[in-house]
Amino acid sequence: MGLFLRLVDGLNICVGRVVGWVMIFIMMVTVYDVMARKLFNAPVMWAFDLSVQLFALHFMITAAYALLYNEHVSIDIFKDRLSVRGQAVLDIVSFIVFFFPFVIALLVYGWDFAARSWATRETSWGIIALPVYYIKTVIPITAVLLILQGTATTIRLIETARTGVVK
Amino acid sequence: MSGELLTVLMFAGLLVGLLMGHPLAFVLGGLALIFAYLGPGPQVFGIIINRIYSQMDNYILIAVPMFILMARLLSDSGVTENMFHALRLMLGRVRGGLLFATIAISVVLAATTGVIGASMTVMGVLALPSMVKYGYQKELSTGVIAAGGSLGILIPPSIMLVILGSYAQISVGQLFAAALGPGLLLAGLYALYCGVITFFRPDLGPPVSEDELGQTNRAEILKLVIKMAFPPIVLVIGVMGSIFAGWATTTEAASVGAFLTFLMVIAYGKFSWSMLQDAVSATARTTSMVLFVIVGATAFTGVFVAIGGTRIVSGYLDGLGLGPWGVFFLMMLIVFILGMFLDWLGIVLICLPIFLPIATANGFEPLWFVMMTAIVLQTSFLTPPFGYALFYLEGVAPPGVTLGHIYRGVIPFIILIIIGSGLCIIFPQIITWLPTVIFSSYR
Repeated sequence: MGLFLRLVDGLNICVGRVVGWVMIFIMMVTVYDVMARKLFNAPVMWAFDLSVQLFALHFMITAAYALLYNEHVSIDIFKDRLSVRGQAVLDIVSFIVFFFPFVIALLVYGWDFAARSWATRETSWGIIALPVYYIKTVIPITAVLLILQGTATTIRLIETARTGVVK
Repeated sequence: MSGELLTVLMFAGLLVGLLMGHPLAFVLGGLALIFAYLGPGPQVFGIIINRIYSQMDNYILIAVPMFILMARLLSDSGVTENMFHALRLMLGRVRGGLLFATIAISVVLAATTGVIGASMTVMGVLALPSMVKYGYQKELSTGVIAAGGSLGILIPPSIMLVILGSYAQISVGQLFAAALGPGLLLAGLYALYCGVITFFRPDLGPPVSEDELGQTNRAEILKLVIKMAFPPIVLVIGVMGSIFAGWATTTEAASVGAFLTFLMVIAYGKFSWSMLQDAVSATARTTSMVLFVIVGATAFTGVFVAIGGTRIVSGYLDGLGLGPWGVFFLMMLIVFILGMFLDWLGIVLICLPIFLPIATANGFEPLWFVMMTAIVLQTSFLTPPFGYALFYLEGVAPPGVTLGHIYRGVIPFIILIIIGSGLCIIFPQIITWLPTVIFSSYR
């Protein structure tokens, strides 16, 4: 069990720290495109489509990384009044009622969505027709990473609810 | 189940989920799924995935991480900190000077960053201890920092305006131009209030003692200001200018701005790989958090529309017989009250898709209405029990400053924001003048 928790944490930390650099790449592509267009009147055809796709990859796939760091906005004022075990039980209920149904739906419907795109080898509408099926596949991948991290968090919460010790 | 019942239950579910302390993004997403099953059937999720994908396929929103990256680079490298010290020395001699310095620096930071976290932390860590040390009243000090820091999200460039623009289908450049007037108006009102109160009660904000300032002469201060405060200010004027002049899209200007910030950090000799890795990772986390609330809200509003919620709410508002202005004030009141519990992101994403069509149908102009919402949203940072600015400040406050000081301190500023909103209703030109001048496409 401990191994599973460490593996999931490690995976998402790794994904977050590596995929984060995509933003620097988008920045460079955009700066290069602006310079090429304004200074040399030679716009980079693929810059727009590529930036959009990489941005989608960036923010979707790092969602589980943000979850690991508890970065997602939430209201804690009422929860803070409960005991440590009470908080853990409430969090477990929230995960079961809200989190898992949503991310599982994201996986199921996202999978269909991506599969349809793969079947037709769909491309973008931009000037350069980039394939979009890769980026649509990001939706189910994000869902899998979220399910893994959510499971790890829930396991820790169950431990806390049983022992009263925050892991 | 009837549409009316589902509409009410969906909002009730939102309230329950939020009070349970679960992340907003997943509360919204989870409710979307539950109510898809209760109402139109789960097949509606096929459409919703499409709508989520259209948020992934959104060029405008790329400006969001770029502004976050800019703020991160500036604060992680210590540039913001130096900027604060320079401006503080410059304004130190004035009575209540630290208050004015705080407001001035907040405006500058607001303009360079576009998120409130960065400026709030800097001001709380740097300004608050020195204010306490010089005997400034704690309520006034914390109020100024909280209110000033919150301007970060109103004064352009701001990620809130990017998201508002993307959602309301208004040009982000026009929103930036429209926000400048109200942002400076609020800053002016804050400064006026501090000036008046320290004039009548000098003990609340005494000037910094001479011997403290004596160590540095005027020429040195000027040099420091030019070296530390000018480059970031010039940078932000460049970013805004290129958007207003129509040379670059918001995303392009933000990317170039982030790149120049990066060069500036190197020029100041503050660059290190670990600093950059931290900035990159933190940007990824914040961006994903913001964008995932958008994903969740997209699902939520998608199902809400499918069960006929928007039609029911606007029908109900019409049925009250309040007239256009009554409906307007009611909507602003809802935004204000929601601001006590939710932050701007949730309010914008849940309310705007419902309110904007109602406002337009009642004859209000979208740009003005969106900006009024943005101004009222300033209170969402300050209103207890849940206000971001309050928590940020409590987190970094020096010993002796309690949440009670902060709660009491923000009250006058909440009133000032309401006064500011009133002024923008009576004189809509505060909002619309600059966009009219800059953009020929507007009017």
